[in-house]
Amino acid sequence: MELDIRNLTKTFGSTAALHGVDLKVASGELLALLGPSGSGKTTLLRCVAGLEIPSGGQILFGGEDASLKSVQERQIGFVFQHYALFKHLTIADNISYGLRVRPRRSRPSAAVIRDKVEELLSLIQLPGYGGRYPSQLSGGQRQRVALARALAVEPRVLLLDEPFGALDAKVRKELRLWLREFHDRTGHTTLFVTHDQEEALDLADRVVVMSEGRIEQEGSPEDIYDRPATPFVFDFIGESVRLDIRVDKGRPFVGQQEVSIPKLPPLLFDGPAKLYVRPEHVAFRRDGEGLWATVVSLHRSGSSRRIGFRADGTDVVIEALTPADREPPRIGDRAALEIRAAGLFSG
Amino acid sequence: MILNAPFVKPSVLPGFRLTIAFTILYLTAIVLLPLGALLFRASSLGVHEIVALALDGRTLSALKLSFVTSFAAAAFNVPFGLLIAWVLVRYDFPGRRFFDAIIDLPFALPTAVAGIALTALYAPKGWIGSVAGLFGLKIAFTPIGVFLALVFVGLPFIVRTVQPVLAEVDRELEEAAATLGAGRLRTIASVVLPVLSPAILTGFALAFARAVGEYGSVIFIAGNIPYVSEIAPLLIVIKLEEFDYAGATAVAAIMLLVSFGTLLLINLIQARARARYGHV
Repeated sequence: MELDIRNLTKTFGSTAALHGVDLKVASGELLALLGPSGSGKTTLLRCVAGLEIPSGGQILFGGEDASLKSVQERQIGFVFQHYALFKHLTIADNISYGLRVRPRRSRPSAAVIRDKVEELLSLIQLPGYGGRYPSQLSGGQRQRVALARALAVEPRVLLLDEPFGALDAKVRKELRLWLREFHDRTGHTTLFVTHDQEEALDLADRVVVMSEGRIEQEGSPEDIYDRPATPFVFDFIGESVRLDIRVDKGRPFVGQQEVSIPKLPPLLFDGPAKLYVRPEHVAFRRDGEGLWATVVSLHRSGSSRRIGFRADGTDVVIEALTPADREPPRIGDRAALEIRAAGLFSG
Repeated sequence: MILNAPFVKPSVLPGFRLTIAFTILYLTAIVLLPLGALLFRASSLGVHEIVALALDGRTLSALKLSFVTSFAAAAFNVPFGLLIAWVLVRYDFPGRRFFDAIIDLPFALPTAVAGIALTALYAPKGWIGSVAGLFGLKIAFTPIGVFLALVFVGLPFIVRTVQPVLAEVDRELEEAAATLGAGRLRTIASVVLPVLSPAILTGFALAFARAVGEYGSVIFIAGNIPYVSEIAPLLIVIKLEEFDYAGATAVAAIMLLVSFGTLLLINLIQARARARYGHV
């Protein structure tokens, strides 16, 4: 079921949480809504679910307007960060809840429900757990039960709100891989909200980066990481340093030195600008062409080493990342920097 | 030594011996001693005499009136107390604090004041009593009057025990039920009420216990007609006034046993529910 969100707005009192968001989700796609807290990603998800009423705009499920439908009518599956399992019901009763609350004429028979529960329990790799209570399960198991409960009603769209947010790092990673593999097998159209970029880039077919109620950029994980479209995305995704530079006659200058940056679109403005550079895109040599700088800091972290350079005639510090086993320079050494890729924005 | 028992977990705030000693002392002095004296007093009567007294028609009908109306009043208060707690917790409306404060009035009011007020209202010449009289319904000086007085004094117990628990109910549970297709009533019945049930039971037990022992607010409106609207606590007072101390303590002992049995049963139900769902 494809999803089409058109010019969606939502205001809480006098503060706007969403400013006219447009988003299309293809059928069977696994899409991540990524952003810091307060970016409106959860509000967007809850609007799609029908748990929030939008202030304006439309939400289409498979071409049909669902904006005015109630939560119950939308046939979505929603998974909450804190599982929201019914703790007075067994695992089996939790999973079958959505089937058992149906009106009598569309309710499956007890035998069909039992089979469905068994099928889902083996799908989430918890066969034989049907008789237990949620309090007897670990966090990762509970979240899988919550997913099975959402899937039992055969939802048209699966919505996950920070599904791994309450789990510890190891379980998070395992469950993430499991969900990717699970999605490949079942193919539900899935929207999931996260503030964890690693999770979004690792898991999703497509990532939508949000900030302050607007979409900053949408694209494949590679697009988002390799070609951030705005300063916000550069800042938010991955590691980068921001350099205050100057553009003169279409050429970028750091202090008095011109820097050459490959793959940069032609610069159509002059004046101050911001250059975003990722540490892994900075190489250094002891001689030759490049941006001359002095080593000012050395820092070993795990398998790599981070070296800080101050560009000549400026206060700008650029970091480079090298393997830890490579012979490091000493503080005060001179080097020529080569910037292999960077983003440049005026202002 | 028994107080170094293995069931005491090490804690940064030790003090088991001191606190348990004080607890036992306090409960003994305040609760067990008077009740023991009562039972001792009652035991000076022979078993035969107690049974004879319990089976006496007037005692039986007084006990029956007390327990049945108390149970009915507490049960009647459950749905309405729940509704009031819901409104006070879930909605923010002008005057909410005022209504919230009013809930405690039946609790704080001297019971005699409540009794006089209720009688003035429901007596055959009172505002409501005269209207009800037109339909041939007599409220004051009948079991209905007793019931109304007990509903009045019991209400705060239900509201005040349910309120804090309801405020803590995770809204996500309701949202989860709604996304799974459950309608509003279904969600309340299958998701909210099970979470509230221990609090409801506690509130019910407190309201029931208070109603069984209620005296001041009931005696005016009850009219105290033997076999019709005479409650057990009043019967005790009457026996005392007739210097029938043994009879009074016997009735008291019977009330004590029935009340204790009821509260024990309610506690057992709660313990079973807790063991099943666990604290998550």
